[in-house]
Amino acid sequence: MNKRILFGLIVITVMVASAVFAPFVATHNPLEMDLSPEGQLQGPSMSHFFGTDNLGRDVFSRMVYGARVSLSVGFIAVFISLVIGILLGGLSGYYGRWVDGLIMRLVEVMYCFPTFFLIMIVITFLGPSIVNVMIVIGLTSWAGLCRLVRAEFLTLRERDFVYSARVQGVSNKRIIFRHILPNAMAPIYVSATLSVGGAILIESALSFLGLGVQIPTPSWGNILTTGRMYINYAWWLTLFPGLAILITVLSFNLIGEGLREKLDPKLKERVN
Amino acid sequence: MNEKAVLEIRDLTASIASRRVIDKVSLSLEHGKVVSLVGESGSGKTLTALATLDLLPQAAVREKGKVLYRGKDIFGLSHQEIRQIRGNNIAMVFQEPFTALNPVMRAGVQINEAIASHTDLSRKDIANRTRELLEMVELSPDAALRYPHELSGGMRQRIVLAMALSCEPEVLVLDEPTTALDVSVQKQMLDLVKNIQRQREMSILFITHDFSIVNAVADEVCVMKRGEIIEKGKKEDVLKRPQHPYTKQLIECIPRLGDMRERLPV
Repeated sequence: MNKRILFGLIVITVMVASAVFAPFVATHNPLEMDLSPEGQLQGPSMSHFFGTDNLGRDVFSRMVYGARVSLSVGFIAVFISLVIGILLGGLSGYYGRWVDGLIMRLVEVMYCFPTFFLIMIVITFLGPSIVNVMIVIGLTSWAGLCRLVRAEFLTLRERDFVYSARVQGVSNKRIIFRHILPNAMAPIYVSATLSVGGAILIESALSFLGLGVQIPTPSWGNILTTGRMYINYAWWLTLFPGLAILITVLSFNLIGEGLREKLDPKLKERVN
Repeated sequence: MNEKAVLEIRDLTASIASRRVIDKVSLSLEHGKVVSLVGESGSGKTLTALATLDLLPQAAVREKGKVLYRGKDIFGLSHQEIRQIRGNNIAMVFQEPFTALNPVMRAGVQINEAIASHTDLSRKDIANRTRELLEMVELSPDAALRYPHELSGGMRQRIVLAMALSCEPEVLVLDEPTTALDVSVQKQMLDLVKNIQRQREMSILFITHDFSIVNAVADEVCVMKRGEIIEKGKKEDVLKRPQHPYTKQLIECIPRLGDMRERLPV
């Protein structure tokens, strides 16, 4: 297997495993405070791998629980955008004519907004929470995927086997989901893995700005926010969550790039 | 016009980017007969075939004309009604066996699709029917479990034929079903089609550019050029006494064994 995919998969597996089994991996209760002067802002040690924060909470344990938030936001947001993108892109590419015109204008409208500010505004109205963050990221990031799916459908629609299915009297629904979609999956997989990384990044940024996951629930983004105030004398508060975000996003991108290379026959020729 | 016709095309005219691609085409197909549509590439044969099922590409504009299946105007039907006719009453086989099958679906599933779309047979009955069909096209039953890339060209074309035959259609439209195959496999396919046609008394619209195939299968011949039918009649008449100069040229182009001409006329 491709080295990049392998590396990415190992990292992601470790991350997902520690998020799922957080209670067993964490060494401390992530919410338990130690307000004694010696308990606050301890540097990394054997009892606190990544040190403690300003309230004496164990940073390692908070990050393990934070992984739950970051990863689930990444996966669920991308799932939502996949559903919308595939559905609208498929309809657009398959039916063409006014359906295509309407959906593509909608996509252009979505492209017009600077996505991050759109998300910020919507979150301010709806109130910050994990669920809102997932939904809003999902609802605002389907436009690129929609265009991708549409392009695939446009070419596949004219293929003989699709004509052949239509000649058989197969229903449009079945043609879209059983004949065309499975043949269009390769670029969708690539785009989806790349967007998981993007979604995690957006979540961290929102939490960093106080619009995402609310304290005391830990997330990589809001641990960073706390760390910002102590960056001069407690480097571990910003370094570790920063690294976690970096490595996770990098791994998703590596998997995406690796998949693209594997699945795209044009790139394959160039590599060989 | 013709009382006995199962399928009749009347004055069909269509154009793509304001260029006539089908020009006042009329033909009728009687029960149990084979009508052959002959012509060079780009003469509008395939488009005529697609039009019989209201499947012209989006770029094509149908200007006038009718396609009647048992007296019913195909273009006047709703989407659901036309779907019931496709595959069930009129079935079609395309030229390229390599692209006519979905690469990510097992052959058996593709044969089942038409049956599943038009009948409400149980899973078991559908599986039995699939086995029957494979037998009919002289393939072993385990071909149903194969993916298209695991099958040879001839085998794929048999699968495609099995798909078309699955609902015992009255009319079969074959669009150059043997062109992509080599000569010996062509012969097998033609024999198979002829046998099945005789057994089931099907009507076939057989599209080809090859007069030797016309000679082997057709009862009647229509010659197409630039979207128009320029000559039609009984096979014997057209082949022995072609009226139109273009038909003459086409027939002269057939190489014969022992032919001493240096070059074929172009």
